[in-house]
Amino acid sequence: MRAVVSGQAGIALLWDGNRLSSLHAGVDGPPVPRRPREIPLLLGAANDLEFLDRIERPQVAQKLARASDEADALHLALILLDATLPYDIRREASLELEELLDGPEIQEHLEKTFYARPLPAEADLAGALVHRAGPTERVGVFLRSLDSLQMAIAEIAWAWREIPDEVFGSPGERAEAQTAAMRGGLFRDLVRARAEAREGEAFWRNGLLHPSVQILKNQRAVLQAWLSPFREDRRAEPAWPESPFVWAQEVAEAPEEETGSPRIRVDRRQALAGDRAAAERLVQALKPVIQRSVAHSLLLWHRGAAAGRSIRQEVEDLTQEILLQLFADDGKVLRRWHPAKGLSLERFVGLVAQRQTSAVLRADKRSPWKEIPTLPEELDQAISPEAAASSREQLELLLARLKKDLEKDLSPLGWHLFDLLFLRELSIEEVVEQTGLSSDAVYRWRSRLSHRVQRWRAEMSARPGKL
Amino acid sequence: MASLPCDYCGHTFLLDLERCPHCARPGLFPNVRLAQLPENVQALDERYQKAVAGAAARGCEERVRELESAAGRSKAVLARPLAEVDRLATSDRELYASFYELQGVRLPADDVWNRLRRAADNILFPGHTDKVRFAALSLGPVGLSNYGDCSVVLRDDLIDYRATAFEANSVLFLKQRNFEEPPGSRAPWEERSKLCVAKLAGEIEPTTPSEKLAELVLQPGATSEEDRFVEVHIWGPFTRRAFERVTVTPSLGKRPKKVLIKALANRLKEIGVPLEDQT
Repeated sequence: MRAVVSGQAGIALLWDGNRLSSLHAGVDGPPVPRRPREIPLLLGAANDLEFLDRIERPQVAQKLARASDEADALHLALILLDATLPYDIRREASLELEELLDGPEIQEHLEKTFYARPLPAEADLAGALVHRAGPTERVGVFLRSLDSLQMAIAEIAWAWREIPDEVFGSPGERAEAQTAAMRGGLFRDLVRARAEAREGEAFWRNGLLHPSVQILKNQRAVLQAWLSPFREDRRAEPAWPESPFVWAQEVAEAPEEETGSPRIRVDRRQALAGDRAAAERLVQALKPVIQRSVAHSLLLWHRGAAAGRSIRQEVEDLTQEILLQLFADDGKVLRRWHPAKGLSLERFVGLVAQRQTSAVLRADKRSPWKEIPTLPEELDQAISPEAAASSREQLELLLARLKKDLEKDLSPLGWHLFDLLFLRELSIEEVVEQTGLSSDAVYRWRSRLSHRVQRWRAEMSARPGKL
Repeated sequence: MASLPCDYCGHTFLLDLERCPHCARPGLFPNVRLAQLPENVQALDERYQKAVAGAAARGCEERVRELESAAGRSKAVLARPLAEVDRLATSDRELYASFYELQGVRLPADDVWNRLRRAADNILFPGHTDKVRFAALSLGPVGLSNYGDCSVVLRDDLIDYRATAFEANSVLFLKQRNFEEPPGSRAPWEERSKLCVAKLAGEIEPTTPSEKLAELVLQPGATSEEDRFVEVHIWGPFTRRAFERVTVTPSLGKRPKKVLIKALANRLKEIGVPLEDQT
């Protein structure tokens, strides 16, 4: 018997001699007789077809059940990563996904798919970790691995894109080879090898001996071209820093912390209020978000012009620059974020990083992907860690100065309200609840305090020199 | 290949051209132009008159007029699996598109059905077989469930100028006629009710209840071959912006997970498209 199985369509078609019939996922009944002309209608635009030879009906039914679960798992994982969907839907998706991940083969399928391409900038990985429901440990493990491997995923995907079409034969054959390599788990295994910092030769052998390589046309040349950047760079650095989202997991599991990512919001407020430790935590939390966004923008932008340059170094450099920008000028960019505007802080920072990277890439002089690279001394000047640290120090000093100046002018109640409204960024309702004032009174105070801060800013600008 | 005069310069040009070769102005959509050919219009009108006269003779003209009126308000409905509709609804989102694209194995284009489909399309839309999308005419919000559990009603204002109605499943219809298209088998969108009367009036009796009329226009069979419907041909692509409403219905296979339906409903709500879950 021959068969074709699609999890997306939820259908398996069976050919037994000249008889055609269909099995349907989730239905135990006998096969439904079919005619060949029904095939395209039944399979629709499904693109996850698996063709099977010499197979019996029970095995086809098993394959169909698994393929259907795999299609659902992919769909659910994408919903979980989708920042535009409401919290309750993402949470429900995490519960459904947790159930599916009970089978190791489903986890394997997700890894094979998600390790073949870096997450686009719009993917909200931090939000997925925070929004997932409490008892979803398998989902947490998957997401944290996905997070920690993003740099290695980007590198392997970038190296794949670097292989000239001629090596495959044609663009169509290239696409087929990509699907075969993805389904065979070659992307996933190379990503793991890269992340584990295996030595160049071991990495190369790992690829060459992989079973799915055997199904690639022109396999040796493809693999040689694919892995050549890594053979040249035998240092095999660690791929991605330790995941910063461990704390997000803790936050997610706390029942009272159900919306947003409160820890990072608190760190932001405290950092802007001059807390050095909070600023460090915030930098550590935001860095991977920025790196992911930068890496993705670079990969999208680049095609050939970056030959000979290290994508890893460029990501690191741009990340530092963007961190600097976030904190510069009294944390002006960071202050623009507000939870009421609907974006998580991580997503907001990801967008800032995306825009800044695009701006750098568009600019003639600054683009790291130009054939004439930016001078190292220029980069050092712009983005050195010393400069970033200095910026944070300036921010701390600025906030201390603000506090000192305002405390002189304001009554204890005024300062308390300033703290609640501007430093802790509580809503009017929350301030009403905490102080017992009427909402009208809080609105009036907010307006008065806002004018005072503007005056203070103007005075500061007029003062010569630094703080 | 027939020719028609250009609406602007008056010179004739072949129907399958999207642009007048003389003045370079855009032509009508080829499927619409074919439906407007005089011989087609005349043949459809003759079928219609004959159907109405037959109905009058049987004493059911009023019922036939009721069908005509309802068919004039009918919609193009597309039925596809929920996952496919969701992909259409997220096609502008890189997150979804990039990972779905990776799956990458589709039905080969050279199977028996696709050969038949191409043969039929070449007769109906010479030179432009890849530009036509198919739907079914329906008096309600649900289409042919054999094609999927998710029915999408398309907005008239985004298709009426480029849509035509055809007698039945075009592949089966043409195959049964040795790939010869009888004149009067298709109608411009605004004449779809005439085609419905020409096709269905013979099945109406004086006692046919009003609620049966919808079933005459569209009747899902046990398999897609047994479906009875009026096929809609829509020239060119469409996006989720062409959706008017979506209905999820029970199907033969596994029931879609509620959260997948909720996610789709949420995406559609953003663009003002309601989703009804009938599962």
